[in-house]
Amino acid sequence: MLYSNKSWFAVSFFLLCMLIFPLSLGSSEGLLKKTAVSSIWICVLFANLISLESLFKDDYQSGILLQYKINKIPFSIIVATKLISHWTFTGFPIIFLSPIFLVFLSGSFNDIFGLFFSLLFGTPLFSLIGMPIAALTLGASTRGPLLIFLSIPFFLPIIIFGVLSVGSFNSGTYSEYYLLCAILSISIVILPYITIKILQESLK
Amino acid sequence: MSKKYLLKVKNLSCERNYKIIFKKLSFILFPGNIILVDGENGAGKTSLLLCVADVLDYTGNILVKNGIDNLGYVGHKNALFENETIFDFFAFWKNIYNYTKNYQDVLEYFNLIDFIETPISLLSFGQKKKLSFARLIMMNSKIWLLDEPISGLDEKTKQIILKIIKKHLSQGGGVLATSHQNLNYFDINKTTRVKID
Repeated sequence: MLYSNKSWFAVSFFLLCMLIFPLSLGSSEGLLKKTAVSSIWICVLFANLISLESLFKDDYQSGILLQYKINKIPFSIIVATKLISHWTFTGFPIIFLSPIFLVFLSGSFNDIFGLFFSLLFGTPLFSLIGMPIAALTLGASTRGPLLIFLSIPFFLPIIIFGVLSVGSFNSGTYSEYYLLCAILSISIVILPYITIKILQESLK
Repeated sequence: MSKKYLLKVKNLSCERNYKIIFKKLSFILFPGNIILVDGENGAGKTSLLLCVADVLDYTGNILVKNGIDNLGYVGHKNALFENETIFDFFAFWKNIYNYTKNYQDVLEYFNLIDFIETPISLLSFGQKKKLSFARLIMMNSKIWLLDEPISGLDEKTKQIILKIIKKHLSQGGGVLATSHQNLNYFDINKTTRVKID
């Protein structure tokens, strides 16, 4: 199992990214404090992008996906497992690390719960939206850049509402949370289904 | 006679990327028989296997005998998790196929028992091929689809693979195999040749 562990890439990339912000903005403490939430969200985005690439790649290239298909193993199980494991290793640890980093970046203590809940709804969305795009680019030769160009536009709404929701938590309106929850509940129904279709098509 | 078939293919045509790969192929696979698909590189041998496995779109009829719900497939790609060990490999596929017998015997047969803790990425081409056949044995399917089963293998490994294919045939199984080399190892009465051009 020592060889197989790529799962720590995303979290370690997140940690490395987090290091850059205090180093580059450290001289102006006021600025760092203001941008703390945004910089955490940016790092979450990067960590997700870097882990999306390997989501289906190995299975597709080694022919295991084809073997699953021929053996009539339902793709719904595969997609659900991939989604859960992807979120467990990229989203879940980051949700718990982020409040600590908010303090490191001298962000406001009041934002801790707001950030926690916005990431709780935001990170599954990153995994959900990234999955069909990762499946779509499976056959492409320039896969890495293509994956990033295609997925960033779809990640933008999540970033926008994610960052805004932290502010609205303190004012007690929660409107952006409702919006994130709405997107999440639609995505969790539709996007895995689309991913299954794309995966089946990719084998043809 | 007509009811004893394992696999019946009638007027099978396949189109890929708006190009006709093959047209109106018909053949019947009986228990204990092997069908060898001949053809040049790029003629569509692999596509034929994938059509039979219901991966590619096709027109025509493919009838599989009632009760056979799983087809065994060994392709160019060995479908192995490269960073797992052989032990992990067996533990995983044993569960998927509900294989209850001891897999140590399979390992012993393929001379892989010494490598059980070795990551699959460190194995040779032939050893990986043997692992895909080990999976085929665990799967216990009546119909095997083999894509170039013995190309690139040394004489000893080739004989091991041929021996399992022969054993499978003697137990009433059927094999649909592609090869661009001559596979003259089987009983001529039980071999059907299908040519794709």
